[in-house]
Amino acid sequence: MTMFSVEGLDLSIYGLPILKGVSLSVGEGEILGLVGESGSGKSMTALAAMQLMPRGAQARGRILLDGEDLLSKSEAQMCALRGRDIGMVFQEPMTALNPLKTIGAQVAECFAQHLGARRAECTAWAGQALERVGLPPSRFPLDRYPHELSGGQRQRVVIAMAVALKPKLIIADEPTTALDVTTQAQILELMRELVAEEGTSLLMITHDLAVVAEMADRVTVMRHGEVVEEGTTAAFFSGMRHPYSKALLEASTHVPARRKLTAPPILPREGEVAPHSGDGGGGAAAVEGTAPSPDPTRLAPRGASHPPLKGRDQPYPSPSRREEGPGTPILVAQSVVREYRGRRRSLFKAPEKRRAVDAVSLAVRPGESVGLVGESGCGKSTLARTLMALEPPQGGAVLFRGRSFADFSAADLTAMRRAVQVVFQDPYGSFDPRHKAGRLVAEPLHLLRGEIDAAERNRRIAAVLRDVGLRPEDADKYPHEFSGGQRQRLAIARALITRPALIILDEPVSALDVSIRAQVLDLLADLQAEHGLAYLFISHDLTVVRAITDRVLVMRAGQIVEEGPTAEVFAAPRHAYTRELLAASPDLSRALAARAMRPAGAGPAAGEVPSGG
Amino acid sequence: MSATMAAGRRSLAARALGHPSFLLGAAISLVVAAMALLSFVWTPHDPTVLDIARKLQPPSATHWLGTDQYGRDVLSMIMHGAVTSMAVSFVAVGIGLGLGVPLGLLAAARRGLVGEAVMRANDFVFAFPALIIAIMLRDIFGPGAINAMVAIGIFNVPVFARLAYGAALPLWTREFVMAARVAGKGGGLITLEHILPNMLSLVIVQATIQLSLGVLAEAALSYVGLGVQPPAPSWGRMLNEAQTLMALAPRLALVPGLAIVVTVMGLNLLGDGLRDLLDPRLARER
Repeated sequence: MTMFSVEGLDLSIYGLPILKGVSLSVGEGEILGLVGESGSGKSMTALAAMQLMPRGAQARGRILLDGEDLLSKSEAQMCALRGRDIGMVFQEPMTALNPLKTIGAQVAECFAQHLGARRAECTAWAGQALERVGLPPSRFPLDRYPHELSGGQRQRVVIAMAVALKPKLIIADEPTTALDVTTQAQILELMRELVAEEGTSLLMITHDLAVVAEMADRVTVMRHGEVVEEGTTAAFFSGMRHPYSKALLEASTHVPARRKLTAPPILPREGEVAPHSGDGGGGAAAVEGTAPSPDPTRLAPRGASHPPLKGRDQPYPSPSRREEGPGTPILVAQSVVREYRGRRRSLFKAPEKRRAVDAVSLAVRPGESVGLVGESGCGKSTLARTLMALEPPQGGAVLFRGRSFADFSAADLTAMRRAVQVVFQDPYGSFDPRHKAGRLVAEPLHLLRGEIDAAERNRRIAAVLRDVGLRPEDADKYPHEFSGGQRQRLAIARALITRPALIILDEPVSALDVSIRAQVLDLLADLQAEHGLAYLFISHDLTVVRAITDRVLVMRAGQIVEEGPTAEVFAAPRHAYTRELLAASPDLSRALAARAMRPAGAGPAAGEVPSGG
Repeated sequence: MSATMAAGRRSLAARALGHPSFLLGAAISLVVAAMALLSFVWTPHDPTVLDIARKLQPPSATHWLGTDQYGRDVLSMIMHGAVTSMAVSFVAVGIGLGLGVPLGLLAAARRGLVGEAVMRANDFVFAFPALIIAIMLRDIFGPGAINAMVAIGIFNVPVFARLAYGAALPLWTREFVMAARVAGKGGGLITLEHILPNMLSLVIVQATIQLSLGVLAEAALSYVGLGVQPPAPSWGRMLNEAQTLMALAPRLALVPGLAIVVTVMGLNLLGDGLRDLLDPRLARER
């Protein structure tokens, strides 16, 4: 029986169409995975169901919950319905809870609001609700505040609030996207259990096909405000019909083709055009779908088209040196320690110290791609800042071409900065919004001041923009005129402009949609081969690290717990933490295999679970 | 996303025109400024000439706002007083901006001991109200308009220093600033290129608010005799001189009082309007 359905929903905001004839349905006790990239309208569909649409939104069509049309309800009726009949789990557990109220009070509020029960009763129920989501009051007293809990625990509180009144439908909007992989696995498990026990319907919005394969009974794919494909999960993965679904699947499992260093220039690879972003930043789609083409003015490894720069600008290792062996490391960390001063507890006691990086050693050699994996807070970004000489280590040393940062003169530091550049995670935060792309990309040329003139500067800007698949004319645009993927290309262009030997990539693709992510990974692989770059690739995403690195280091609580060639570490992890990480990370092929193994009818299929309502 | 932001950029002037409190504030401020400028070349009468025979006249065709107890033309005094108010508050804001913003930026760029020293010194100065500073300055240099400017200016320094420090600190943790550091740029250059431009709107808004506070402070200092000395007219001293005649000619207190209120309100409305117009987040909600 259908519990929730959307029929022909059209939605526009100030006349701009956002949703076009969206139809989907969720059966009783069923899990529907609503898949799409950013801007596809999946969240707007959920907000329409809750009648929490932004100002200026106009909806036509029907949204039925248990036979009642939600669009025709008044605000007062919706208020009674939200929380009671529809529960909502949001993406960001940090902001979904009120920081000024205890978790007990926030859960109790659900009961007080809808049942009008007395306070003591509500509090007792809140305790039960929190116990059900794995936060027993004996260990997590109700008077805890949200900031005293971890991200995963906070998301449990949000889930407790969503399921508190045994709603008919739960809408979960990217419930695990902000969480670490191990936490994600636990939260998904919890949601699956709750839904199976209560027979609640679940509309699960996600961009992650692996999560869908693990969780959902049926799948609906959205793109540009339209439903492009739907079907049962098994049928969907075994025989996708719509090209976009196929492209999405290809992108999620994409492994960039990594070539050896001395390969000839890249040709556009036919048939490898990935789906475009749909975040339409004016010509974004066209550019992002195109593989970079060979061009005489692009950066050549040996400076073939550029006059040599006073003979000292030879940042790329010569191929012959590479063939000889691994080469001398560009950057070496020797038991680096990075401590932060904690809060001063008393005026007379020394403040506590927190060790973010604890005796980490690593080396990156020319042309090599090294992965650094770990969950949030493990110290990997702190380590990166230390390696870039942005923060001094409290112990150990960082060596650039054999010399410690500690002994550096200003000229040495400049030489190091020319050779070691960086790409940050956030494609929005890594550019000053007030400057044009050309100026932003050229910023590291500050390191070469006095060596190059304006003409060479402009030539380099054009060359790096072409290198990353943008056009030289884009130099005149402001950052906000680019899409997220294009901005990340700009960030890579900025890192390339000094012709470095090593680029430190701090979560370079985590903020991007899967199809864009695949393109950026391809670009990184191409650039590495072309320029003989070394990468230190920092990520929490094992799939990405696996795709692009030769060697991987696993970091936990400030320490490296495992290190080795990527293939070996992934195939046979030695440390328990690595195994845990690998087991927890959503893996499409594994999830599909598990699904195929599942005996028919064992899954929480529609109609089979008694409704617990 | 990009479309809406571009639209926001283009329509800044249009949004200003559709912002009533900004328009009202700008209009009032312009009128006061025009009045002050006009007084340099023309006033109905000389505001410093005493004419006891014509004392305490009600408003008339020759004296639009009447005369005071010494027979001076009130309108002329108000016009000249506007010059005093504007000059004192502008110079005071200039001192605050010129010293406070660089100090705050320095503290944010250097952190550590330098930052700590700068900000604690600021706290020390912050503990003295403008009035106390003016009294100290008078004891050293004697009373006068310069005295008032410097006193209010010193009072403004920690205000701007704190504002700049508070606005710059979060900017220093942004990724585009880290990218600039990786590009080898030093603290000074980054401050000029990235930090200052990104906090300029905050500084502009605060400057408008400090201007209005300056007008108030100048009036207060002149009222107690620490500001502009006679015979130069000042709104604060007009209030002081009207005090004894409140029962006889309340007009003499009301006119400068209203001038102060209207000017301060105008500058505040202007500041609020600028904040709305320059802050993209507030702009989008409007």
